[in-house]
Amino acid sequence: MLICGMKKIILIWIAAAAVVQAEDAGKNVLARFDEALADALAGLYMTPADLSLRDDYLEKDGFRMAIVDRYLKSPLELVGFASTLADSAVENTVFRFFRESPYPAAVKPRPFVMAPPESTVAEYCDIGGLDFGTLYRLAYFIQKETRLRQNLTVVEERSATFDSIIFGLTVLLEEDVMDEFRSVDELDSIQRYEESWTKKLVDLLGNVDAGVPAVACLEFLDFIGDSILNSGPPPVFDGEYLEFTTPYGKVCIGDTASQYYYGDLFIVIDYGGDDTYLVQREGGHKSTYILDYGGDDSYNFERSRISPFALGMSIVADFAGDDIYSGGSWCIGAGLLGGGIWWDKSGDDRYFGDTFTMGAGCLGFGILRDDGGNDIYQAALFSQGFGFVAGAGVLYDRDGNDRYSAGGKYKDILRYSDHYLSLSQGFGYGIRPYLSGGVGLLVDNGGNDVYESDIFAQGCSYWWSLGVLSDKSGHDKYLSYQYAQGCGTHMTLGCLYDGSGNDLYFGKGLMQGCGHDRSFAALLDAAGDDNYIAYDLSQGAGSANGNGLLVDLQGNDAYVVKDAKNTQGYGNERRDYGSIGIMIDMGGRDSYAGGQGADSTWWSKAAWGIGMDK
Amino acid sequence: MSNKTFISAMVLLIAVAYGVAAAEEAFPPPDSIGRIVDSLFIRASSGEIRFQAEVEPSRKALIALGIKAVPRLLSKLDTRDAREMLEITEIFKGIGESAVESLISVLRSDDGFARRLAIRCLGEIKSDKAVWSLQAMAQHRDFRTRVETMTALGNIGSPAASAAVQTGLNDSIELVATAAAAACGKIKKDIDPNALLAVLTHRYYGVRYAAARSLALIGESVIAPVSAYLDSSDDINAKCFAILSLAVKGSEKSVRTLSRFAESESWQVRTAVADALGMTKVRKAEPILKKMIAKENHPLAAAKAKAALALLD
Repeated sequence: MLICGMKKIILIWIAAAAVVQAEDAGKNVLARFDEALADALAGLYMTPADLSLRDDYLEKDGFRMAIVDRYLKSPLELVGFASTLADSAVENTVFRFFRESPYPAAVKPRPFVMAPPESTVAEYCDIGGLDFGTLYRLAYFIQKETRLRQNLTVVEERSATFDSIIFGLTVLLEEDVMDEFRSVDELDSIQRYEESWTKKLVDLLGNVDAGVPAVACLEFLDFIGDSILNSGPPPVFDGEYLEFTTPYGKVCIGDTASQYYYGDLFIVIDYGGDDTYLVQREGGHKSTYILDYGGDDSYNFERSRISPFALGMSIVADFAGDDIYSGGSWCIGAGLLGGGIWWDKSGDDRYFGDTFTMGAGCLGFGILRDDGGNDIYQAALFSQGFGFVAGAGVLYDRDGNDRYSAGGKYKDILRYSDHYLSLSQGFGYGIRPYLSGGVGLLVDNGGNDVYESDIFAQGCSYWWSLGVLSDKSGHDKYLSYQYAQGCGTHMTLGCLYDGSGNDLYFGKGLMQGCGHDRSFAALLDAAGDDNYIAYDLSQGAGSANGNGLLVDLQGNDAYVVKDAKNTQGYGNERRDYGSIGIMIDMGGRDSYAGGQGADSTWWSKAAWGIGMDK
Repeated sequence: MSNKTFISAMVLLIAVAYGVAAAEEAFPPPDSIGRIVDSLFIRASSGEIRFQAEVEPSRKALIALGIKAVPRLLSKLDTRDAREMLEITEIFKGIGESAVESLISVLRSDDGFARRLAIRCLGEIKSDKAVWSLQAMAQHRDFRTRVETMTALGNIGSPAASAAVQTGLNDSIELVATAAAAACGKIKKDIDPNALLAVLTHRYYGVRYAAARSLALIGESVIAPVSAYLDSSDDINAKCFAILSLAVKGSEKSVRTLSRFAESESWQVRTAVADALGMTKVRKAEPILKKMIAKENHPLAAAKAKAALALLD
């Protein structure tokens, strides 16, 4: 069958038996989690229902993701979601956000009406009767995508509006390394400018069918079948290198030699060789499709301030080789009012980027999937599974010992003179108090991984959003400084789930299961001999009516904290009532230093906090 | 000059004057009070760590301007910025009584942010003059406004608001009921303990906790109704909160009542008893706690009893 639905891919990805086994194991973990939590809550004279939060502490803005509201009201379901994520095909999750869940109210998706295109890519691919099977197939759905995009523009008759939206979103997501040298008045002026753009965006997004690009992405995904992304290489092309230009950009059919592809690349199909790509696309509304079937390749995307791929869809699929992906911002699995899918099937790969990259989505989705090899991911900001307004970003790494690094470029001038913003690695973000945020997922299925970040990362979110880091197995290291490792700040949700392995969690504060300001956050480690190190307001901490949980179900673990007063099952008082902080260790011989906890006992020194080691 | 010319000239003059006034409002001269307030406010509400040294002096300068700064500050009440909200509250708290009338005028605002922040400021100023106007907001259709109102009435602490906050206990929104329960403990006078006891079974823990603590703050007068409630209640969690409401500081009568439940079959009840005994800080609780420690087999109840004993020291 030439074209098949995305659901078929999902079925192929998941062997049925493995799913059943994983679900059973998942249920077992969750049952133990639920039981332990109910025990601990009884010590605070509460029930699990008391952990429920509202979805309307402030007037709802209309951009709220349904999944965020759902998990705020039933936060324990979030832990179940995170624990099963690593056993599922994450694309399915993306589908769930955009298709099965009610769309944010202000983003109005509607059924798409196909219009006859004025010209099609296929026309340009009908060259001398040659069988460019893959190209034809690619052309088929690009044609569909193009129709969708044309339709969008025609229907709205306001491409200028979309340009404004893209510029506004760029203003909100862009940081400047020079900010640390600006005066208080300059910074205030920048803040006012950004606020004015936020208000403008609320109006603009409320008056256009901004959901259409995301819906179009789903249509597009429906047409991606085994024939393209999940099958073996197409019949070997025995002709010479071929290149021609279309209104959409350059189309290149390579061969098995090493090639240098550059410029306004629209479609590239390469059969092998160590290739170099330099993608130089300008303006917006662009798409790039690259299928590379072998070789150690280097992909380079010219740095752009405004995403050339906004309001478009792009696919880069690399089937083999140790590859290097180097982009600035808005690429490597990024979807801004559209969709971006990057899929590397094997090899030890290296990914480098700046902002909004490596699985980042806003009013659409971005997926970066890497199936194997020991990979390195390095970015500055809003990356590695990042979801912004009405969007989802997913970084899914199936196997290998991987290293994830986020931060180091833009200083967190608000809080520190020597720390950097990350806002990455399973991070959801919204603009307070105007725009609810999106969903960011970082899922790693295996290997001994290292996660490095600084401020805001690793299963964390800010402002009516959701951030999840789910690591199924391996001996992993989670290193961060603040707001990380299962943390939610300001009416939002964060979760870090680790399935097994002897892991290390290290950081300063507001982490390791910390919910701040009517947020819910959890760190659940299901098995292994783990080490947890933090300074303050961590390890099961609730702050400003937020709820935080740290639950370790198995293994001989060690817990170290610096400040005993606000860690290991601590909830402070705000607005005349408490925040809930719970720390639970369910097995093994555990060591404690610096805090309230001790092996095989219970403790509760704060009115709204409790610890339990069984 | 004819009458017609004179009238035309006057109209032109008035129009120019209005224009100048409007331009001044939009672009006030550098030494105007508006510009000074703006400049100080940027510094006072700056969150960046680099500018922290400027925050306190700028706030003090704004407070020192007093009533002169109020009109410009009122225009900032509709801010959506959390730091600015906190700072405005601090500044109005510093300015105090002289800002009350102006803040009351904002209660009619259609802007929810401005209205709620004005209420918060009035609560921080703690002026009895605001109680009547705030009571009118206790039934506002926006529940967030009702939450702020309950909190503000509690902060002011006037018994004149006791009926309004007790009505708030039955609000369908749990956050309003929580704020109302907390306010009851701050007002104390004319608060019916039974109204607070009735919400100890509330579905939301915030309400239960706030009600229990308010009962304890009201003092020994609640011991009899709480004791009766304990004898009739079957709900373990509600019973625990009722026990916590007996944590009346310095009350031997509380200790005597609590001792009745020190050997309860429920480890949760025993935990609550230990907690409450510690909070009374009454020496006579010592033997009860020691006995509890000797017999206790639940780790949490034992830990609470030991912690309570330490509080008595």
